[in-house]
Amino acid sequence: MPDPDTQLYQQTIIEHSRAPKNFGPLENASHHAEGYNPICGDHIHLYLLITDNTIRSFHFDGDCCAVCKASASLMTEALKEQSVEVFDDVLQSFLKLVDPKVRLSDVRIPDALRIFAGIREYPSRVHCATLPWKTAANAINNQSTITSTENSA
Amino acid sequence: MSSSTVQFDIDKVRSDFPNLAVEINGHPLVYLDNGATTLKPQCVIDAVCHHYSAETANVHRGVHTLSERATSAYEGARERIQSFINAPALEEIIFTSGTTDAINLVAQCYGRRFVEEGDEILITEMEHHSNIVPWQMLCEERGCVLKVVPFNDRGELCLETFQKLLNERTRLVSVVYVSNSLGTINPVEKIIELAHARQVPVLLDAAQAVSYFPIDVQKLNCDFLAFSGHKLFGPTGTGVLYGKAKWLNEMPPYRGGGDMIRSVTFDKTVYNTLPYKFEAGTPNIAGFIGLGRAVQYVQDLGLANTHAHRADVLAYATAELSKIDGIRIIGTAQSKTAILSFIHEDVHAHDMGTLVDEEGVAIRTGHHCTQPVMDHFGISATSRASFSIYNTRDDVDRFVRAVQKSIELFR
Repeated sequence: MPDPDTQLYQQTIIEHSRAPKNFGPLENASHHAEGYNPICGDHIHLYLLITDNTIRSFHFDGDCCAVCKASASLMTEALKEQSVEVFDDVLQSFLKLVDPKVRLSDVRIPDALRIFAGIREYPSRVHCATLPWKTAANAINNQSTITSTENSA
Repeated sequence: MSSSTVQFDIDKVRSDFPNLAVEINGHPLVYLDNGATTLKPQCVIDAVCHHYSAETANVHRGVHTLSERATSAYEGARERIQSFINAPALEEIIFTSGTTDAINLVAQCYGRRFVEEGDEILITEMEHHSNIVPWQMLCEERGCVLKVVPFNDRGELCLETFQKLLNERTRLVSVVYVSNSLGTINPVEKIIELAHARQVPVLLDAAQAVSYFPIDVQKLNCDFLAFSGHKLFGPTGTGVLYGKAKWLNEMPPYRGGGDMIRSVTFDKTVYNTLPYKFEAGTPNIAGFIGLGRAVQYVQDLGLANTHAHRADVLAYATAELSKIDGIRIIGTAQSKTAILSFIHEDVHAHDMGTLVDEEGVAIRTGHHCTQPVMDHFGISATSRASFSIYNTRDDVDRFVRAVQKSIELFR
C-alpha cells in the first residue's frame, strides 16, 4: 500500500469531492473562466467576484473527477476574502507542491492545501489538481482589465 | 461455457507473456487495457532482440549477408501477414506505422485521386478520432463533405440511415469494424454489400478486430483494411494497410523518398511498384520482423480457438459488473468483442482508474479518442476494461473487487 502521507485519496479529498464548498455559478461574478482538459475530459467553470483587489466570492462548477473537484473546493475555501496577490502567491506554492522536482520541505502552503502533496506520486493526475488553479488564474488575469473595471465603476 | 478451454491452454498462453509476471503496487498485474495495446509474447521480444543482436542491417539495398538476412526476415513478415488476412497478392500489403498512418495514407492518396469538391465521405458516429480527423482534413483540402451514420443507444449502427446517406456523390465509406469504446462488432459484410451496390469502395478500420477473430479480406471483399501491429501482440510503430491493387495502382504515392522510387533524375522520377510506392524511407525493420512473429504466434494458437474463452470472460465480467449498484455499462450491442465500458454514478472514471491501479488492475479511462461517442451518451469519460486471450475469470474477480473497493471509498 502507498505511504499514508503521500496517499492521494485522503478522507478530506473524498469529503470535499462528495460535498464541495462554493459549488455552483455566481450570479454577480466579475470574473469567469472555463477550464477544460481534453486528455481526461475534466471540465470546470470558475467564478469570482473581485472588488478592491480582493476576492469577495469564489465559486466553481463543472463535470470533473474527485481530485479536481476537491482541489477547487479547497482552493475557493482557502482564498475567499484574500487579495489577488495572495492568490498568486498560493498558486505558485501549489504548483511547487505538486511538482516532484521541488522538495516538499521547501514548500510553504496552508495545511488545508498540503494534503495534495500525494499527487506528485501520480504524474498522470497532477493536471486534475492544477486545473481549477490555472483556470482561476486565467479568470483573474484575462478578464480583470475588462470585467473588473466595469465592476469597480 | 465450461467447455470453453478444450482446445485452448490458458496456462500455457499466460506463460508466453512475461509482462504478466510483473507486480503493480504490490499486486500481481491484471492487465485489462488490451484495447490500447496488447502485451507481447516472449517469441516476439526474442525476434526483435535477434534482429538487433545478430542481423542488424538495412533492407532492400544491401548485397552483404546481414542485409540479405534482414530483408528476408522483413519480407517474410509481409508474406506472413498476407496469408493471415488472405490477401490475394503480396503487393497489396503496405507497411505503415499503425492504423492511424494507414487511414491517413488512404485519405491523402485516394482522396487526391478520386475525391472532388462536393463529393462525400461516409463514416460513422462511433469512429476513433483517427478515422474522423484525416477525413476532415481532406474535406478542408478538397471541399468534400463528411457524412456520419448514427448509432442507437445500445451502440449499434442504424443501417437504414446508412442506406439513405449512400448516394451518387459518396466516394468512400470508412467504418470501424469493432468499436474501441463500445465493443460493437459492426455488420461490415452488409455495409460492404450495400456500398458496392453503388460502386462505392469501403475502408475497414480493423484495429480492434484483428486480434479478436480471423479476417479474410477476400471473403469480406473490402477495398481497404487497416490495422496496428501492437494490438496484435506485435511491437509498437507497426501497422498494415491492405488495399486492392486496382485502387493502389491508381493512387499517387504517399511520401517521397528512398525505396519508393525506381529511378530519380532532376527531370523525372519514376515511382516504384507496389507495395514500395507507399513505403518511403527506412522502415521499422525490427518492428515488422516482430510483427511477423506475432502473426505466426496467433496463427499457431488459432484465433478461432480463443473465441469461446474470450466470450466466456466477457459474459462473466458483464454479469459480475452489472451486479454492482450504480454501474451503467456503455455499449450493449448484441454483437460485441471483449470490451467493457462503464460509468458509475458516484465515482468519476479517472478516480476509478487510479484506484483500481492501486490494486494492480490496469484499465483505461477517458474518452478513448471517441469524443462523439461520449457526446452521444452525454458523458465525458468511461472506464474501459478490455480483455485478451490471456485474461481469466480470476482477472475478472480481481477487477470487480477493485471496482467495488473504489466505490466503497466514496460511500
